Amino acid sequence: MQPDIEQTPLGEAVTGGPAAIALRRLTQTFRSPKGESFDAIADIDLDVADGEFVAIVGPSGCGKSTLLNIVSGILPPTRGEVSVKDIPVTGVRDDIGYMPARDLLLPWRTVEHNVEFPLEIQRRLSPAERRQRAHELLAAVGLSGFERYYPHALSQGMKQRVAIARTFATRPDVLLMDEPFSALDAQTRVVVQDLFLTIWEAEHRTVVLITHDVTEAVALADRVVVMSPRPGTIRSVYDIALPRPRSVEQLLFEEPRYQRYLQRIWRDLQH
Amino acid sequence: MSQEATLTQQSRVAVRKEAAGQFSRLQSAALRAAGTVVFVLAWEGAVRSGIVDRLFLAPPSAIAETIWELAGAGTLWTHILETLRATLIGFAAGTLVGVLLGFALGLMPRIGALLSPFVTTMNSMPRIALAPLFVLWFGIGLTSRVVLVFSLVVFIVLTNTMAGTQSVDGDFLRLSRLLNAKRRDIILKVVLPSTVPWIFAAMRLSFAYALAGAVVGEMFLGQRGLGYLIVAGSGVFNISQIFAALVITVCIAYVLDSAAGLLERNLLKWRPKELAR
Repeated sequence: MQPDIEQTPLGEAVTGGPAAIALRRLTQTFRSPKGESFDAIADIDLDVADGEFVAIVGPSGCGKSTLLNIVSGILPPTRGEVSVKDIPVTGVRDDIGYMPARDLLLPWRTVEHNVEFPLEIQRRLSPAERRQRAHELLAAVGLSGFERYYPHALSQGMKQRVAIARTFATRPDVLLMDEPFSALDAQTRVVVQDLFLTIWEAEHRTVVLITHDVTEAVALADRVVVMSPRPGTIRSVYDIALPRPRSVEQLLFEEPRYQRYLQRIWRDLQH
Repeated sequence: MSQEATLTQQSRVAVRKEAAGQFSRLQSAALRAAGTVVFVLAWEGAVRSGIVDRLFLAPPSAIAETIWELAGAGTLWTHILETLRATLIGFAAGTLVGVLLGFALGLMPRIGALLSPFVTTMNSMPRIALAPLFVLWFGIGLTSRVVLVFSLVVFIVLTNTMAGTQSVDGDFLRLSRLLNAKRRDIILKVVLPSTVPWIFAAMRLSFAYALAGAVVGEMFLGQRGLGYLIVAGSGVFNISQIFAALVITVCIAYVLDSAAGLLERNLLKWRPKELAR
């Protein structure tokens, strides 16, 4: 007997337990070019547990990226509070990592130098240790032997794998990801997603992933948060009770529960 | 693993493509050489057959003879060195000052906004026409010619460097800020490297102006140099001497530009080939 997802209780946005990330009544107001002000997101409450993988899905313009910008510390919220590891976020912090949609590899740096870039910027480790860490991470993403290549010689999928290595280089406690796989073609995306899962399961960082791709959200996350269009609010939350370690490829073809999560969340987004 | 195999295959294809590119480059070099020979022969023929008056156009054989004579007399090197001296000193100083000011104006937007009308005005002024003024100010020595060359180079390099600092991919800056980068690091590790191709382009462009500036300077106020050869030649209707000086100027420009191109390709080998060429 398959458990019926229609009857499984929804997850909770606020868990009340110890949280790696806590958002309270978070609101961001912008001013339009005409001078009217509008809320991009309104009264968001969300807890993310230590080591948890949360995906946030929603239609474009629902304020997902605004939310991530606020947590990253680059955008101060209009109202509300954010804390990461029980410390209020008041600016960009070294313990919060960020992975953008574009690979953003610096074209004049070799692959290994690109992975070392965040460590250099944050003055961490000695040059020799940086080099060693870069090589370990490149091995983990399957790019041993490409350390001295310049980015222009790599395929898009390989560039994104370098970007994953760069993201993990500083071992951030919290990882914020803004549609990091959206630039890849469907086939490469599954390969890179699986690779990311493997590394994540080993490193076990807290992750907040923003995506408009429901399949990606369900396949990767422990919990999926569905947002409503402007002003962005939390519409519903789903605990994804799929076993780990997961394989995105297997989920796609062989897991009926996965399909039902998809249907349910998809319907939620259609409202 | 199949991905690695695909990559090796891809790089092999790329290598083959590059080899093909080199082959066609060899072909085009041969074509260019053949074209030059035909052109020179036609020129020689036109003058010898009397289609063009010898008084206005020296045949290539006469030009070669003049160059040979000047070289034999030992004066040719003096002239070339004189021109190169003003060119290279003015070019080096102009590049240095242009790059520094370009960064300063590009990285300090308020000062940049304040000074940019001045820069635009200076840049649009035909600075070669300032040569007589420079003579008044700096005398008829090397200084005037260096200043003339400098004034040509500095604004080209300045405007390009400034444009380069402002054309950095905004997402690179955003990523750096998200990594908590200091301003100093952003400038040194992001802005500076992405401006280098702009500086190179400006240097190659302005070198032609530098050489022209040195030659024109000598035409006004030189006792030596390729520009002096041109003026001296025209004074006595020695057409082949004028052409000899022109040919040498072109050769200098060609050799130095090729060397710069080689250097640029080596320093900027991170750029995709299609962009570098």
